[in-house]
Amino acid sequence: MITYSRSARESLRNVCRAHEESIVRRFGRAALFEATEFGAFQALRLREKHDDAVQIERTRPFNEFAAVPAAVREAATEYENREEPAVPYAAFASSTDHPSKEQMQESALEPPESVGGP
Amino acid sequence: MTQTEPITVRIGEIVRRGEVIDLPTTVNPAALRDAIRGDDSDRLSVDCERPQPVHDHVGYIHTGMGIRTRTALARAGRSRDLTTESDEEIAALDAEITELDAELAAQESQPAAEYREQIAESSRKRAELREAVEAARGRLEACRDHGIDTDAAVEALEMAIRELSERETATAAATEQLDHARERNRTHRDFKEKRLRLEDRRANLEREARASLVDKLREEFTAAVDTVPGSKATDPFDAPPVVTALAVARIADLDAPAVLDCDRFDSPAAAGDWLGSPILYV
Repeated sequence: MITYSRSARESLRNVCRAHEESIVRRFGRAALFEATEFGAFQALRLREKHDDAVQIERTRPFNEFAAVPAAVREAATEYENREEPAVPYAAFASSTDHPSKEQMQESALEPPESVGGP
Repeated sequence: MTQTEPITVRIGEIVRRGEVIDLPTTVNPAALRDAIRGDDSDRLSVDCERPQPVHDHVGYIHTGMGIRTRTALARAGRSRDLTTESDEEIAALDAEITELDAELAAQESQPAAEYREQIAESSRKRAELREAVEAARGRLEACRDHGIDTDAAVEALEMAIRELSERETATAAATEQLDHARERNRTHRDFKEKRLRLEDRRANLEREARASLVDKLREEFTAAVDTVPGSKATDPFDAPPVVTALAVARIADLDAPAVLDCDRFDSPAAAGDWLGSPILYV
C-alpha cells in the first residue's frame, strides 16, 4: 500500500502501529501487508477513507528461474562481477552474447501464473 | 604525553630509541606510519604504544596530505578522554548491535534460490506431464471410437497420471520448503532492519558527539592554529591541511608517535616540544 497525502500517510502509520502482526514491512509512506483478508480489509478501509491518496497493489514473490530466461540471469551475474567497474551495461553487452538493454526492455516477464510458486 | 616507554625504531641495522627520533630522509615516512600501526616489515619496525583513532588523521603529517578537520579534532578530544552527553547511549547502542549481530550470525539465511529453481523446473515438467495426460486420454478415446483394444492406451494413461501426480507432490514439497525458507528469511530481515535503525541512530549520535567535542576544543584549536610556525591568520577550520594536522596533533594526547615530514620547525626537538607528543622526524 502506498500513500499520497499527509493524512493517508498518518493513517497508514496508525494501522502499522496497531496491527504490527499484519504488516510484513514498512517503507516510509508505503507498507507491505500480509496477504490475508485482514490485510486487505485494512488496505480497503484506508482507501475508503482517503480515496485515491491510497494505492493498493498486490505483490508476488519473484522467481527468477521461471520469470526470465537464463541469458538474463547470466548477464546480471556477469555484469555485476565485471572487471571494469565503470563500464556501462550497453558497452559491456555489446561485445558479448548477453541480451541488450533494448531487448530486455521490450521483453515482458513470464506471467506469474506460470511460476507455480507461492 | 602519556608515553612512558621510549619508542624504538629499527631500520635494518640501525636502532633508535627515544621520544623524539630524528631519522634520515631516506626513510620512507609512509612505511614508518604503517609500521607504527602494526604493519612492520623485516627491514622496518617501530615499537610503540598502539595508536589511537586520531592517529589516522595526524599520524603522518606532510605536504600534500588531506584532513577531515572536525573528525580529527573530535578524535583528538577522545585521545584526551573527553566525553559527551551522547556517549552513554552510543555505548548502549553498540551493545545492542553486537547482540543483534550474534543473533544474525546464529540464524543463517536460507538458500531460497535453490528452492525457487526446483519449483520453476518442477512446474515446467508438470506442465509437460499435464499435456502428456491429455494426449494419452485422447488416444484412449480414439481407440474407443474406433473399437480398437484399449488395454495399452489405458495403461499409458494410468502411467501418465501417476507421473503427473508424483510431479505434483514434488512441486508441492519444494513450494513448502520455499515457504519455510521465506519465513525464516523474513525473520532474518526483521533483524537486519532493526540493525539498520540502530546504526542510523548511532550515526546521528556520533555526529552530535563530534559537534560537541569540536565545540569544546574550538578555542584551543584556534589558538593552536595561530601558533603553528609559519601559519598565517586564517579561519582555523579552513587552514592548510598541514597546519590543521599540526594543531590537532598538539591538542591530542598521542600515545603513538606521529611521523613528521614538513619544514615548519627548526629542529626535531622544537617540533617535539611544540607538539608535546612523541614524533618520528624525517
